[in-house]
Amino acid sequence: MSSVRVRYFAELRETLGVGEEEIPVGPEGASLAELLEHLAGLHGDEAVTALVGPGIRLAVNGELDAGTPPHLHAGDELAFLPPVTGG
Amino acid sequence: MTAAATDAVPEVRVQQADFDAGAELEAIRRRAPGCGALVSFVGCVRDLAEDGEVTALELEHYPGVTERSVEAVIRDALGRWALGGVTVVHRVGRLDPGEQIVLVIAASAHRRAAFEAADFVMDHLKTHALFWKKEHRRDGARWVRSRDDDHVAAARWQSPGDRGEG
Repeated sequence: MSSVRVRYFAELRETLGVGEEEIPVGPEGASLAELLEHLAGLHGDEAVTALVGPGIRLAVNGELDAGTPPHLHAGDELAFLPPVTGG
Repeated sequence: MTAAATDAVPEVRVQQADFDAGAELEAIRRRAPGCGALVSFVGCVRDLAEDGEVTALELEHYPGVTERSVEAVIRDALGRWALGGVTVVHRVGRLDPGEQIVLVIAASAHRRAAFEAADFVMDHLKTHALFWKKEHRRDGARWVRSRDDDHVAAARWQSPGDRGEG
């Protein structure tokens, strides 16, 4: 199956009710907007609002803030990261 | 910023288990001979938050990616000070008040660099390393918000001509 792995951390994980999931994509992959649309279908608009909320950063295949809204391909991992609070 | 030539390798561990600061000091002392100064910082779980008693702390991370984010902080420090080594051990999972959370050790030939580097690494772990904290209290649990004063603390290391930090 061709899919993108999507991961959520901390409060986003709790909002979405899942830590990670596989979202199927076609051979051309999917834009971030297309992926978010798919996620809205799965989790509702409110969840997607949280995913694009203030301070939320993206990592693609472990690379943070990989510039412009990413285009995801099968096998990619997209992570939604709330503001960090370590140390 | 003067880039200090260094072969020092960041030592980063993210683990559930507790750590032994003494053993880590001994390890870096052996790894970085010639360092006349070792500065260590241990962060522990406070039992009081801004608005109530904390019964436990829960720390989440992004395995693999979090370690790299800590390494990036250390490499930044290695570029600013002449260091023989830096160790960071950060715990994750559920921790009780009083437990150790984080250890930072900076080794250098001279104490000033070691003090400053340990301070710098700690400030930037707060703002740049991928960890998320949840406070458990008697009246419920909540994810800790990032603090403005943590960002102020990290920003004080930026002087004109320094590289921006995103």
